[in-house]
Amino acid sequence: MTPLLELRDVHAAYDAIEVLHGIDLAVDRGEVLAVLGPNGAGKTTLLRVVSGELVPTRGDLLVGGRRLNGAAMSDLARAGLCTIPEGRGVFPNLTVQENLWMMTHRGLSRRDVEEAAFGYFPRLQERQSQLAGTLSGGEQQMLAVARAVSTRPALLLLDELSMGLAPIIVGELFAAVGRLAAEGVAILVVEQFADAALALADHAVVIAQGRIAASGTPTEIKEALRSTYLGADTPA
Amino acid sequence: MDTFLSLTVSGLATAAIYAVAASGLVLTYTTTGTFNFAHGAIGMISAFLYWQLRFDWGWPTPVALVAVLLVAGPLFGMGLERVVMRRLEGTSEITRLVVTIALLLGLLGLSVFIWDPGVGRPMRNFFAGNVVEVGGIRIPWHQFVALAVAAAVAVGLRILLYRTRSGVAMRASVDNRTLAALNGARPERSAMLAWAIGCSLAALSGILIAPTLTLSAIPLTLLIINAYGAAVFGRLKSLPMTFVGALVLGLLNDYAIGYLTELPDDLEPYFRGFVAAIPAILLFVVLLVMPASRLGGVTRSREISVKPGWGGSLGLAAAVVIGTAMITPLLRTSDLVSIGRVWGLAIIGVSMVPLIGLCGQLSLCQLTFAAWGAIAYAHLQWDNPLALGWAALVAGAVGALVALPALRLKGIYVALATAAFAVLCDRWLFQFPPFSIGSHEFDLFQNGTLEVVRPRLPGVDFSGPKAYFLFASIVFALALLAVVAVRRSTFGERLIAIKEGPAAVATCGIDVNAAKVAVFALSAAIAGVGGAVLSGAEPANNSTFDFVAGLPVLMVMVIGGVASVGSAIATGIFLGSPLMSRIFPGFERWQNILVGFSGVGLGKNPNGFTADLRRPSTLVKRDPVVLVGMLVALLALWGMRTAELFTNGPYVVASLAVLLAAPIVAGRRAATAAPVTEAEETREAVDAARLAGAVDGRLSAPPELLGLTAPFQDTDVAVLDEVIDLVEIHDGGRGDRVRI
Repeated sequence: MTPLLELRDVHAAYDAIEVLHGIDLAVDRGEVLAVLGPNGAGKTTLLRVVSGELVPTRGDLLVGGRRLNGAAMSDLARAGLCTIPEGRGVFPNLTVQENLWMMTHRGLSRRDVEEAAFGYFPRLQERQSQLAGTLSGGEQQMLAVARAVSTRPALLLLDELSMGLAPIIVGELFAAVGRLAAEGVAILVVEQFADAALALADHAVVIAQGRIAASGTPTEIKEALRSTYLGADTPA
Repeated sequence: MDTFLSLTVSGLATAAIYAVAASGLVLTYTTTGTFNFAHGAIGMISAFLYWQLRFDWGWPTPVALVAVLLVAGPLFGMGLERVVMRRLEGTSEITRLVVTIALLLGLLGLSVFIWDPGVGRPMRNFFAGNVVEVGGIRIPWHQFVALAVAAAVAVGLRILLYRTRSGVAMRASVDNRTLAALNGARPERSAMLAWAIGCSLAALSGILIAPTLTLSAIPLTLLIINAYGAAVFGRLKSLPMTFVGALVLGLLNDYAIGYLTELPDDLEPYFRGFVAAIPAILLFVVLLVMPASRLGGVTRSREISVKPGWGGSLGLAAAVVIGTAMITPLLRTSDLVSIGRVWGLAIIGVSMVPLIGLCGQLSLCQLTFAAWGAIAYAHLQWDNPLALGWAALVAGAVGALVALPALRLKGIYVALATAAFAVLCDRWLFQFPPFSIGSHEFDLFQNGTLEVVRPRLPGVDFSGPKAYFLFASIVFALALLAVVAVRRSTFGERLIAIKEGPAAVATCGIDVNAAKVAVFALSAAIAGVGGAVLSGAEPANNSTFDFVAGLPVLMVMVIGGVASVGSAIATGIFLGSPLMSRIFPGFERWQNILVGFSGVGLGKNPNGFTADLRRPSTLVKRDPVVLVGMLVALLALWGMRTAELFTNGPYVVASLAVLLAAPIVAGRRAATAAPVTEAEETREAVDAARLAGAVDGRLSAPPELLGLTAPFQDTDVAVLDEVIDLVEIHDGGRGDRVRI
C-alpha cells in the first residue's frame, strides 16, 4: 500500500543555504509520526516543505503516491492537508467566529465547523465574537487547533504545538490531538517537548543537521535521544 | 438660515463623494496593507475616460458608466495587483508607498499626454438642471445621487467584508498571508479583488467629483486626495469612522466656501487659499490627536545602505566642481538658463538622503522646506555666501517644527503629515498677501517672484550666470560631503538603526525623538539651502515649490537609491537640465510618465540603480590604466571642444561614450589580467565549484555548525556574503575581507 505521505531524498534551501540534505520518510494512513530534534535541525523547514510553503530543491514530495512538488498551499489545504504552524496560527484581527469561518474551505458549513470546534474547546464558544488577537495564548492555540478538529483532514501537520504554553493547556491540546489520532487521522508532529509527542506517536524520527539521525519506535527513540540531543536531560 | 441649510445639504453631498473615495482607499489598505497614494490619480484618469466616452464620443450614460466603473476600473486594479503590487512582497511599507506615489506621477503624466490640458472639457452633473424644492431650499438631483451612492457603497462594503467569506478571506490575508493559504484561501485572488474594487471606487468618486470643476489633471487628483483625511479619521481601518471623517470634511468644506466670502474685505485675502487647505489642516489635526504609534520592532527588508568611503566621496565632490568648471565656459548664456536648476535640485535631492534614505522618514515636503529657505534667503538681501546659512537656519527651524507631529507617527502617517504640511503651505500660506507682525512687514513671495541677490566676495563675483552656476556646484559638493560625514558618523548609524528597529534603539538608551527632530532639522536645512540656490538660478514663485512639483524629485532620488548621495546628481541632471530632451525630442511630455513608471518597477530593486553602478565604478577605480585612460580621453575631448572642433552635442555624446566604455574595458582587463586578488580567487573558486556541482554553491557544513564543529572555509564566507548581499564589501576596496 502506498503511504499517505512520502518524502524521497528531499533537499530544501533558503536561497543558497541548504537546510535539508536528503530526507526520506513516510507516514501511513492513521499513523502518528513524531519528528524530534534540536533547534535549527530543520524540523520546521520539513513541515514547510510538506505544507507546500517551500518547494524542495531536489527530491520528491508525494501524497497518496502522487508527486506534488510545487503545488499551491491553498490546493494542498483544500485536498485535506491541515497545517497548524509554529506560533499562533490565528488571524488576530478577525473574531473567533470569522476565524472559524475561514475553516470552511473543505466544503463544510459554518455550523459544522463551529459545532466541531466548540465541542472540543467549549471555551471558544464563550469568546466567539471576540477578536482572536485578544485571546490568551492558550485560547489562540485552541482556535488554531480547531482547524484540525473541524476540517477532518487526511493528514495533520503540527509544528511546536506546546511552544510558550502552560503545561495544563498543552495537556488539553494534546488530548484533542490524541482523539483525532484515535479517529484515524494521520499526524506528523514536530515537537521539542519530546515526551508529549512520543506518547502519541506510532513511529518517531530524529532530525539533526538536516538529516535523519535516528528512526524507530517511540521507546527506541527515547533511548537514542539522550545521545542526540545537546542536553542529555529532556524535560519529563 | 436658508443659506445654512442649503450649505448643509451641499456639504453632505460633498461628504458623500469623499466617503466613496476614502472607503476605496481604506478597502485596499485593510485588505492588502498598501496605502495607495495613487488613488486620487486613478479617480482622475477615470473621470477623463468617462468624459471621453460620455461627452466626446457621445455614448449613453449607463454604457459609459458600466465601461468605466465595471470594466476599466476593475481591470486596471487587477492589472496593478498582478504586475506591480505582487512583486512588492517583502519590501518596506515605505517602498510600497513610494511605488504608489510613482504611479500617481505616471498617471498624471499619462493623462496630460492623452488629453491636452489646453483644451476645456466641461462635464455635466448627472440629471443636470433637475432640482427639487424641499422646505424652501433648492436641491439639485445630483446631490441626491451622491448621497445614494455613498449609502450604497457603505452597505455594500459592510456586507462584503463581514458577511461574505471572500471578504473575510481578504481581511484574513492581511493578517497572515501564509495562514490564509493554509486555510485554503487564495491570497493573490483576494488582493486582486480588493484592488479591483478599490480602483472602481476611485473611479466612481472621480466621476462624481469632476463636474464641480473643469476637468484638469492636478486639481482633480488633489481633490480626491483630500479624501485621504477622511480615511485617516478612521485610522485607515474603520469604515464607519471614515464616513464620519468624510462628513466633517464635506461640511467644513462647503460651510467655508459659503461663509468665507462674507468676510470683511481686509480679511478676505488671507483666507483665499483656506478652503483648499482645509483637508490638509484637518489631516494635520487628526494626526496630532491620534494616539502615538508604538515603536516598531525590527523590520527585515531587502534595502541596504552601503557606507560611502571618504576617498570616493571627495573624488565625487571634486569631479562635480571640476567638471562644472570645465563645462561652464562652453555653455552659452541661453544654455545656462535651461541648465541652471541642476545644482539646486541636486541639493534638495541630497537633503533626502539622511531623512528618507537613512532614517526612513518619508517626507513629502522637502520642496516646501526649500521654499522656506528661498524665502528667507530672498528677504535677507545679503550678497555674502553666508546668507545661505540663514536660509538653512530658517528652513531647519521649519523642519524641526514639522518633526514634532512626525515624532508620534510612523510610516505612511509621516508621509501624510508632511504632504499635508506641503499642501497647507502652497495652497494657503504662500498665497498670503503682504502682512505685518509688529513693525516688520512680511511679503512671502513678493507678489509672485522672489528677488534674490547673488553672492559676492571681495575680489570674487558669483553674480554672473556662469559664475553662479559654478558657485551652485560648490555648494552642492559641500552639501554632498556634509551628508557623507553624517552617514559615516555615529549619528548616521543611529539613523539607520532607527529605520530598522526603533524599539531596539530605544532600549539601547538612545533618544529616538531627539534623533528624529535633529534629522528633520538637518534635512530641512539642506533643502533650504537648495531652495535658496535654486531661487538664485531662476526666478522662483510659489509654483516652483508646490507639492506636486516635489514628487518627481523624490521619485528620481528613490529610483536612483535614496540612501546614496550619487542619486542626487542624477536627480539634478535628469530634472534640471535639458540633457534628456536634447537626446530625445519631446521628452518633457514623457518625463513624468517615465519617472512614474520606472518608480513602479522599484519592487525589483529597492536599493535603486546607483547600487548597480557601484560595481562598474569599483572596476574602473581598481584599474589605474583604465582610470587614467578615461580621464585623459575626457580631457582630450574637452580640449578638442574648447578648440571648437565640434559643438556641445557631439561632445556630450562622446564623453558619455567614454564613461560607458571605461567599466567595460576594465571588466575585460580584470577578467584576463594575471594578478587576481584573494577575494576574487575565492569567488572564482566558488563559481568553478558550482559549475562542477562540487559544493553546489553551498556551505561546506550546515550553517548552525559552521565555526563550531567545522571550520569556516573561504567558500563559506563567499557564499554567506552573497546570501546577505555583501558582495561589494567582500571584494571591494583592496580585495581584503572585512572583519566581522
